[in-house]
Parts: sequence; C-alpha cells; structure tokens
Amino acid sequence: MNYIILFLILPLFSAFLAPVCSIVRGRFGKYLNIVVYAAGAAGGIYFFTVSGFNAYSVIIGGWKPPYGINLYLGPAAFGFGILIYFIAFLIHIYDLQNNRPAYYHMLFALFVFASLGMTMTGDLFNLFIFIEIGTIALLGLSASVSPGSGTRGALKYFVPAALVSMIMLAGIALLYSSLGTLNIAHIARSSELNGSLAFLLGIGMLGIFFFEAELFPFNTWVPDLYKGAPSSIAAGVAGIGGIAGVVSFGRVFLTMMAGSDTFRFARSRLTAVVFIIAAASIVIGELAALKEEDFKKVLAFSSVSHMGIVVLTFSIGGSVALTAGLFILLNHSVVKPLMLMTAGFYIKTSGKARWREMRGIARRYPLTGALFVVGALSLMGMPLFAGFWGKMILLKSLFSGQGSLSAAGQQTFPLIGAAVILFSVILEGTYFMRIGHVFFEAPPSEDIPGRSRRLKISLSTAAPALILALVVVFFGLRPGLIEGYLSRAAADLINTADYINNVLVTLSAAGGAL
Amino acid sequence: MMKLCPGILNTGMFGAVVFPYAVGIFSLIILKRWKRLQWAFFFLSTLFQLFAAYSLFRSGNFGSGISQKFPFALSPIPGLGQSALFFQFTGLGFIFFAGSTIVTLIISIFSLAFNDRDHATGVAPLWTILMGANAGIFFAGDWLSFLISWEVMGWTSFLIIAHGREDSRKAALYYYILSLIGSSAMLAGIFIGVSGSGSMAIADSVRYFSGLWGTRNSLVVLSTLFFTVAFFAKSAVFPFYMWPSLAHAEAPDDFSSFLSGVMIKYGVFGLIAVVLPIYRAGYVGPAVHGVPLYLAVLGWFGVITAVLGTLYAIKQDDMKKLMAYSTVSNIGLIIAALSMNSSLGIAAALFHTFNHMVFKGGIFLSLASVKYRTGEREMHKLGGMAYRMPLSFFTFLICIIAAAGIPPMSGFASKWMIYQALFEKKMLIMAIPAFFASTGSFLYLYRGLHTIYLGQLSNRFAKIKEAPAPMAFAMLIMMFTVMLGGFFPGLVLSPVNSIFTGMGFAHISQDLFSIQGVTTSIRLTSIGTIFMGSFFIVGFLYLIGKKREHVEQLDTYTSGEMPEEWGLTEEKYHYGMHFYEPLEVTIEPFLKGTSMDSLFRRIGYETGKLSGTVKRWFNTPQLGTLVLLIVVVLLVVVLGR
Amino acid sequence: MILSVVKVLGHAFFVMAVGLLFMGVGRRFSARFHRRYGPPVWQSYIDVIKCFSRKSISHHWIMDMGSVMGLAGLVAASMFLPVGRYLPFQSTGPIIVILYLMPIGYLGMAMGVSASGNPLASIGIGRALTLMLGYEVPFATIVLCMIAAFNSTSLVSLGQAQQAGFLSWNIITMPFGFVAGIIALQAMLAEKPFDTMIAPSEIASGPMVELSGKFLGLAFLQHSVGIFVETGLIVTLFLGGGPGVGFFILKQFLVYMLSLAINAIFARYRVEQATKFLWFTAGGLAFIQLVINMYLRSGTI
Repeated sequence: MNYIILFLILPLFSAFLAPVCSIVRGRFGKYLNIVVYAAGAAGGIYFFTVSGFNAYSVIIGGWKPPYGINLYLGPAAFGFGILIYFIAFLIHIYDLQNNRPAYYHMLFALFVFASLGMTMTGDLFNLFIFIEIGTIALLGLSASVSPGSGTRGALKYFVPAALVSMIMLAGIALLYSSLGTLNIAHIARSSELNGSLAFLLGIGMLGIFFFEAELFPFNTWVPDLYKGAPSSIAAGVAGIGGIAGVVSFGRVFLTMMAGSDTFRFARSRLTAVVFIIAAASIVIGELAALKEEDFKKVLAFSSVSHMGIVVLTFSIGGSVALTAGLFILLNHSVVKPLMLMTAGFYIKTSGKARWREMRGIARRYPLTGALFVVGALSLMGMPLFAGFWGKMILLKSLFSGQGSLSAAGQQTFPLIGAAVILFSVILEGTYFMRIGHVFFEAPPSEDIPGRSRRLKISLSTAAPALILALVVVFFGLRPGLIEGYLSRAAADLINTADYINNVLVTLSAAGGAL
Repeated sequence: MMKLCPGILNTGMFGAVVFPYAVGIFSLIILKRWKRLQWAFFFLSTLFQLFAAYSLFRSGNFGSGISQKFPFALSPIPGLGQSALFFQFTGLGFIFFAGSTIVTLIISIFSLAFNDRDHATGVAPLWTILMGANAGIFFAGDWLSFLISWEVMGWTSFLIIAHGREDSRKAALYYYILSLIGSSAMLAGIFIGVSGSGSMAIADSVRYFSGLWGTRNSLVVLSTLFFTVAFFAKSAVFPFYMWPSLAHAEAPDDFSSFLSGVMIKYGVFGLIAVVLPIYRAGYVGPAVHGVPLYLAVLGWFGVITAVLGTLYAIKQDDMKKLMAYSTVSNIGLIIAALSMNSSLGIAAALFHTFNHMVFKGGIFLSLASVKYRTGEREMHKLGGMAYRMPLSFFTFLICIIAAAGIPPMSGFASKWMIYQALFEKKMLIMAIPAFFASTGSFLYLYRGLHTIYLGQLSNRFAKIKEAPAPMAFAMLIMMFTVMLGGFFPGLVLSPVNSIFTGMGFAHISQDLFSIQGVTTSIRLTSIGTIFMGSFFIVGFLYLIGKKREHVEQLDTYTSGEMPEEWGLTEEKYHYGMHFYEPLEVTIEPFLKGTSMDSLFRRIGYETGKLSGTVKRWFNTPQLGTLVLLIVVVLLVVVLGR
Repeated sequence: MILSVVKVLGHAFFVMAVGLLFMGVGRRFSARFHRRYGPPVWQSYIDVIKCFSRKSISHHWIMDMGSVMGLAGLVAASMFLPVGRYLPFQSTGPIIVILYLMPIGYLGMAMGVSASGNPLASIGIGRALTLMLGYEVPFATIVLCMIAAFNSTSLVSLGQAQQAGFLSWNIITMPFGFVAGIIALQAMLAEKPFDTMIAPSEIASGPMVELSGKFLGLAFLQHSVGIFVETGLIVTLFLGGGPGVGFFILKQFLVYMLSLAINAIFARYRVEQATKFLWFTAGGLAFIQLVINMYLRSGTI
C-alpha cells in the first residue's frame, strides 16, 4: 500500500468521522482534527526526510500517467503541505475555546484536504475538482458563525468563484480538445499551441488562480470574507488558502506554461498579464488598507498586497526571485494567521470591530499586542524578523538585472516591480505601525475596552500565536536554515524538464516510489 | 598585548553591537514589572558600550578595516551571497560611536532619576535595543548589517517617540513615514551598487560607483541621490526638515535629548561614509571651485536648512519645538561644511557634530529638568526658573553660549571652522546665509533663556526645588564637557585628524590649543584666557563701586504708575509672548512660500482620498464585477494580438 | 608674564578712556547741531565716576553677573583689535573672533536686565537682538568681501594691505562696501535711525531702565568700549588702520563724528523697517561689492 497517500488523505478521515461521532460526543470533532493535523504534519516530515528530498510521483488508481491521475510530491508540495498541516493544527488549538457545530469541523477538514490536493495534484481536472471542493467548504465555513456578514462574504466569494470556475472548465475543455490530455506533465511535453489559443487558454485557466490568490481585479471577496468569517476561517484562508492558491498557480503557470514549449508563443504575453495584475494588486491593496477602519479588513487588504508581491516574483523569473517569493509566502502564511488570531481575540473582548475603537486594549493584553507588532514588523520586512530576508533576496534579484520571462519587459519589469514594492513598504509601515501603536495608547479613562468583558486570555488562545511569532523570529535570526528548502522548492516549480521526467518517465516506470 | 588586539577589536565591536540587543530583549520580557530596574540595565548596557569603546580605542588601528563576523546562516544564501554579517572598524565609525556612547551614558544617568513614578515612560528596553542598532550602524561593514541596524533603529525609535500617547503617535508617524521613504530610496541605491559590484560589502559598492565616473555619470548621480534622500530624511535637511519640531517635541523628555543629540546625526554619518567618497578621486563632471556640482547643491540645501531652521525657531512658543528647530539649523551648517569634501570641511563637520551632541544634549536635559519640576512646556507659562534652579540655569546658559557659537565655548571653534571650510572653497555667497543662521540662533536661544529662566517667577513655582541629584550630576558633566571642548579644541580634533589618513585626506593643522584655518588661525585657549581675564578686570571695577542693595522682583520702574491697581501678578508681568513679533511679521511671507509641511500634508491627504476611492471599489459588488469584466476583456484584446 | 598682564590692563583702560573721551566730545558736537552749548568734553568721565560712587539696586545676583559679563565681553573683543598696529599680545586680530565676542556684550547685558524683571527692558532687548540680526548680514558680507579680495580675515594683514598710501585704502577701492559698512556701523552703535532698542520716550530707555549706580556705570563703559571697537573695525577695514596710535584715533574720531551727524538729523526707524533696510539696502550694497570682488578683483572664480 502506498502509505504516502496518507499525507493527502488524512483530513478526509476526520471529515467523515467528525459528524458521525459528534452524535455521540459533541466536541469530538475538534480534538479529532487536532490529532489528525498533528499526525499529518509529523508524517509529512517523516516522509520528507526519509525520501532524501527527492520527489515522489504517486499514482492513483493503478493507471499510469498520462492516462491516470498522479500526485506529485516534490519539495514544494511536501514543504508547503507540512506547513498547511501545521497552520491548521495551530488554528484548531486556537479555536478550542469556541463551540463550533459538527459540520464546521467536517468542512474545515475538507478545506484542508482540498488545499493539500491543490498543491500536490498532477492533473488539471483533478486540480479543478480540488478547487471546487475548497470553494464549497469555504462557503459553508464563512457563513457558519455570523449570519449577516458571513453570508455576505460567502456570497461575494461564491459568485465570482462560479464565474471563473466556469471559465476554467471551458479552458480545460478546450485544452483537452486541442491536446488530448489533462496531465500537467504531459501537457508540458506536448506540441506547441497556436499563439492566440494558448493565450486565451492561459488566461482562462489562470483566472481562477488570480481569484484564489486574492489578486486584483478578482478580489472583491477578500475584505468581506475576512470580516464576516470567524477569525479562524479567515486565518485559514490567509494561511492555508493562500499557500494552496500560490503553489498550484506556480505549478500551472511556471511548470506548465512558462517552462514548456507548449505555450511558447503566448509566454511573454501571459507573463506580462501576471506581472500587471500582481503589481496592480500590490498598489491597490496598500492604498485600500491605508484608510480602512475595520480591523480585519485592514488585514485583508494587506493580504492582497502580499499575494501580489509573491505572484510578482513568479513573473520575474529566475530561481532567486522565486525563492524570495516563496520566502515571502512562508512569512505571510505564518504571520497573517497570527495577526488574525490576535484580531479575533481583540474583537471578542472589546466587542468592537474597528481598530480605532480598540485604543488601549493592549495595555490589558500586552502579549497579544506585542505579537501583533511583531507580525506587522515582519510583514513590513523589518529586520530581526523573517520578512526582512525575503525582501532582501527579492530586491537583490530585481536589481541584478535578471530579465523577466517576458521578452518585452526584460529590463523594465524588474525595475517597475522594485519601485512598486518599495512604495508598498512605505504605506504598509504607515498603517501597521499606526494600528499597532493605537492598541498601546492610553484610552480616555471612561472607555477602556475589555472592561465590559474581562476575558482572561487562555493558554489555548495565546499559545498558537506565540508559537507562530517564535517561528517568525527564529527564521528572522537564522534564515539560512529554511533558505535551502525554499530554493529547492523553487527549483521544483521552475524545472519543467525534471518534472516531466519524474512524472512520465522515471517514477511512473517504477510504479511510483515506495 | 599585540596578540590580544585583534581579539579585543573583534570582541569590542561584536560586544558593542550585540550586548545591548540581548540586554534590551531581556529587559523587555523579564523585567516587565520593575521599571526602575530597566533603566538601571540601560545604564549598565551603555556603560559596557563605553568600556568597549575604550578598549577599541586602546587597540589603536584607526582606519584599518578589521572585520568581525556574526553568522546568520550555515552557508551562503544564494540570493544574498553571504552567510555572516561583517563589521568593520573604521576611524569615522569609531568617532561617532564613542561620541554617541558618551552622550548617551550621561543621558542615562539623567534618566535614572527622571523616570520616577510620575514621569516614567517605560521606553528603557526599546532604547537599549536602539543602542545596539546605534553601534551596528557605525560598525557596519556590509550592507546587510547596515540595513538591519538602520531599520531596527527606525522602528524602535518610532515606538519610543510615540510611547503610548496619541499626539506623540501622530508626530512619530510623520517622522516614520519620512524615514520609510528614505529607507526605500536607500534600498534602491544599495541594490544598484550591490548588483554592480557583485558583493554586499559597503566599500565595494563605493568603489564601484567611484569607478563609474566618466562612463555612466547619470547612474552614479541617481544612486547617490537615492542615498542622499535617505540621509536627508533621517537628518532633517530641507525638504524634510519639519519633522523634528513634532517628533523631538513629543518624545519623552530624556529621549528628546538623545534624538536631537545622537539620532539626527545618522544621516551625517551616512553622507560622510557613503556619498562623499564617491565624489572624491576620479570625479569627472561639472564642478564649482573644484567642488563637484552635486555636492555644491548639497551645500546649498544645507544653508537653506540652516536659515529655515533658524527662522522657524524664532517663531516658536514651545521650548522643545524651538530646540528641535535649532537642531535642524545646526545640521544644516554641518551639511554645508561637509559638502566641501575637504579635510577642513569634514573636520569642521565632525567637530560641530560632536559639539552639537554635547550642547544640545545639555540644553534638552536642562529643559527636561524644568519640565520635571513644573510640568510646563510652553515658555510663556514659565519664568524665573533660574532663581530656584540655578544649576539647570547654568547648564542652559553655558550650552546656549556654545550653541550660539560664542567664544570661549566649543561652538565657536566649530562654527569658525565651518566658515573656514566655506572660505577655502571660495563659497562666499553660501557663507552669507550661514552667517545669518548663526546670528539668528542667538535670537531664539536668548528668548529661551529669558522666557524660561529669567524675568518674573510665578507664584505657582515659588517653592520648586532644583533637579534631583543624578539629573544635576548629569547636567554638570555636560557643562564641563562643553567647556573642555571650547578651551582645548585639540581634544576632539586630534582624534578626528588621525582618522584622516585612513580616509585618504591630508591632515589639518591644529594642536591642543589652536586651529589653523585658511584665512587666519586662532588660538582658542588664549581667547578663553583673555575672556577670563577681562571678566576679572571688570569684576574688579564692579567691586570698587559702591555696594548694591537688593530689591524685590516686582519692584521695578513703572513710570510712576501703580500696577498693583490693575491686578498685576508675576505671570502678567513676565514678557514671554510674541517676543519677536516684528521680525515674525517680516519673515512670514518667506516661510509660507517655502513651507514643506503643507506640501507633505497635501500629499498625505490626497493619498488618503485615493485610498477611499479604491476601497469603494471593493464595497460595491456591481462595480467590482463590472471592473473585473472590463479588465479581463481589455487584457485579452490588448495582449491577445 | 607680568609685563603682558600690565599691557592687557593698560590696553583695557586706554580703550575705556578713549571711548569716554569720544562720548564727551560727541555730546558737544551733537549739541552744536542742536544749537546748544553742550556739556564739557570730560563730562563722560565725571558721569562714570559719579555712577560708581552712587548707591545701586539689584534684583538678583544674575543681574550683577550679567552686567559684568557684558562689559567683559566687549573688553575681550577690544583686546584683539589692532590699534594702529599695536596689540596687547601676540595675535593676528581675527575679525570673526571679534564679531563673535561682541554678542557677549549683548548677552551679558540682556541676561542682566532680564533678571531685573522689567518687561520694558526685555522689549528693548528683543529689539536689540532683532537689530543685531539686521546689521550682521551686511557686516558679514563685508567681511566676505575682504576675504574675496585679500583672502584673509586677519585685521593685522588687512591693515598692512592698505599701507601703500591713500589710494589703497578700501574706502576708495570698495566704495559700496564702505557705504554698507557705515550703515551697519550706525546700527551697531545703536544711533539713529537705528536706536529703537533704546527708544527713550517709548520704552523708557529699554534695557537700561533698571540700571543704577555701578550698573549704569558698567553700561556706560560698555557703550564706550563698543564705540571704540566698532569704529576701530571700520577704520581698519576701510581707512587704512594706522600708522601709529594717534592717526588711528583721529580716524576713529572722524568716523564717530560722521555717525553722530547722521544721528542728529534722522528720526527713528521701527524695528522691522530697520531690519528690512539693513538686509536689503545695506546688505544689497555689500552683496554687489562681494560680487565685484569675487569676479573682478581676485581674478579667480
């Protein structure tokens, strides 16, 4: 039996078991989830080290690719898969205090499963399925707690999601009719497509990734979802959903489209599209966050901007830029859940949603306030924290004149990108420092938030945030430890030839490793 | 001993940078309950840094580039190409480090007493971390160390200036935004240099840029422009000169001393270490009297800053804002001197930098002790403080004599050298605003002296006491240092001179007592002696006059009127408001025309409006979907060809 | 060592004595303008001695210290002024040192009268300082003219550069500078039209309102030394500065009489009018001179 498939399947166990067992015992679901995610992370680490950091190609159903579906577990999928499990684990610990209905845990497990699937799958249609599962799970999750704004967020997510998934489906159908295959590796090895067809197909299929990755102009749903959904779900979207969206985007765009000959005639145009959209997202995200009053929406806009930065690195090309992008993705996926956990706690204790009305709250809860500031500093790219290194590597690669994948923007794209990123740092610093400090300010005396509901912060709420912050600081002081893995993950995404080899030739011939 | 030297060098630099970080973090997390203890640790950490400075000084070797590594990765990060942080020991960095550490140590003694229960600000741990960043900037050998220290300095100083109050936060945010703009510009310049030279070492980037003269002039100028923007923003040079009046004024009182004394000099250090060497050997391009055009323009920015700082200071009613503008003015003079890029110019700039650290620190400490006792910051509400707090008064007096550039205090020697530097390069027209700014400083300094310390003592403060002993002790040391620097300029100039060989400059001729300029030479000690002698002569005359009789404060000449009939009190009788109103009316149009503040606020406001517009896009789904469709169609159509 | 102390003392008293003599003669001179007889020329000596022998009041010891410091500063400044090539000790007579020692006079007097607590005094000081800002601009520009022409700020060498006869005097070679210098001198001496700091009928003689007895005596002496130093500066800069003590004092006297003549006829400027006039008219003339010197005289740009 192929034990490695457990790495993907584990959440499904929890998804099926949770509603059933909750008939017996209501809170069974969340403990089960925690155990499952911890097991998943541990298992992932085990398999990863055992494999000697090579890639696995796991065949499903006995049919070898390109006729059957395969899972590709390279450094990218493994590393980020472990991260997904880790974040899910921490989110659930944070959520321990809340009494969630049974379907919540089932849907969350499905969401995690879908995200893992997105990062690992080797087949386009399989990818589409996973995306749909994730969408549906998210819809239910976001509306689960607060009916009003949660439903609003869910709806705003659903309508564009439906639109872009239909477009993707159309794209897949067209692709299938042109090339006769849906396996990513096989597509990458196929003959060249007509330029305009390739371009249209590319846009169609990338559309849904832009949507998942919160990029302009596909991101109307982001602020409302962050605000309406409970903070743990928002953390899940930011951390887990972001990872899944970006890694699968990388797989489709970098491995399948940019690295192969199939899309050769449309490559530069597609890269230009990606670049423009990413740069626009960065600018729009920062500008919108500047004057935002609602706390969670600020975090949402900041997510938009950071996803923009990560995707920008994809359009620049070169393994160094991509390593930087993955570093920034890692930083964001660790920090944004941290900040959302803080936000959730503050909102619950103060009963307010706007950050200005939470003035002085950190005087009562200084640990969470400090953790928020740590997160903000890391996102800004300030040293002693992980975000600094990502920014440094990125800027170095932008200025080193490594041309972009697009012929037209060889020299200008990196420079524009650098200008946009440097601009975004200024705005980000402004609003984050402002918010962070407002929490510490002395409030007008009659109006101390938290007085009405004196919640003592419990270990289960504080510990996950603290662990995430420690991770950030740890990588801030010792980036070398993670940088090796990230470059390998970057190479995994870029190196199309190796990918094709691993999937179609080497590993499948041996029936998959293990 | 010699074998120990590299060891001492390495440990000294390493310890000076890392120890305060460790102590600060320890203080922040472990000592949260014992605030007094946090200040004690701050003092100890600074003392350790001073000790490190001393041992570095003893090991000699100024100008050598000995480096020490701090590994942050096990192997070189491919993206960055290095696996450790490099420190380097240059004379320039050492002088700044030693000066800043001495001044901070004196301030920390002051802070021990200042932060009692009523006045505590709780910023000690962050300040300790900031001292680590302080050392890191001066000892940085590669851009990463420099950037780390620079950015840590940025966010810790923001948090300290804001220290939990709303007004302070707004002031701190104004400063921080400008600082971030500077950092972003600097990043661009740094990475242009890194990609061009292929290494992250600062010296290599400088060499790369210097080598580009003649071939890619515009690139070099653009890059140095990026650096200049960053350093100007940090040192409050025109057009970024409005933030000290907010930030220095709203910061905790003892930290204002540090801000005005030490932190504003980082830009000066950056300019001397990074920008000036690029314009030295091998410069090919337009020049004015042998000074590269870019630097000449820099010098003009400096004197404009000096004039504007002086004029704004004359207008102020708040004593901390006044002194903040005075700092701006002095920095302008320093920039003017160092833009001459000669040994005399840089020596003058360094000398004035060190002098300013000491006398501005003393002024702010004295103001802090007044505020500590009275709680007031607006000058016209004070008055007569000298009668109850004579030590604070004397510190203030000595320091403003130095600040005004009057012999025999240290400020005169450094201002004189600044003029000589301008004369050397025949920048005579530039010297006119410099003279103006210097004389104008006398106006606002005197106003501070009169309105706070002299005049009429209000009844509210009739019983206040002198500052507590540690604060008084700190002020005494500052006063003494100012006098020492004035009588014996060689004490500061000899170390400055000795670093010039490392920088490739000729020495300036000076000794312990005198300085040789371009148009003449002066002997500071004899000036001081003459002044003391004249004091005795006149004192003798005073003594042979008939004895004088003491009268009450309110018993003054009033042309035969009886002001008690109008309800005269000490506060009403104290002349404090609108001290220079005629002058203010005259210069108002000029200030309005050049105000950068309104420009920046306008930019901020428009950005905010833009933000609102963008947000609206997210809120209305119809609009959002419409835009989405339009964009997609556009992309397909435009790029589909 | 003893000799130099004696020389310094003697120089100090000499300066004070000559200054008082100028004041005395000046009073007679002004009186003749007004068709009066005026007091005898030694009246100022009598006044000073009288002041020192009268009782005086003081509000605080800072007032005493300030008055002493005021005169001390000016006496120190006078030590650096070469009187017809005679200096009490070895020095180059640096202008900038003198320029920066004179404000000690202002500072000391200001500090002393501030401590007296009378707001009229403080108003006067505020005006005096504003006026100082006014005259510094043309005067500093004149110093720059000297640097442009001779590359020196040493009064000794400037005096020597004008030894080649009457035509080498800077009054001939730098006429604009001379006019600017005379205007600046008028403000330095606080004579009309720039005497708003005293303004007898307006602010009760300003800073001197609380001074009595020996304090008034010290202020008198300060004014006298000030006359000496300031006219001495103009003489050295523009009128050749020597040779010998006698000629020097004669030239100073002529300059002082010119100043008094202007004082006798003019009314008083308000302080903002005065400042503007000094900056733009006097400063403008000096600036023209500077430009001329920079580009035409020294030959280098």
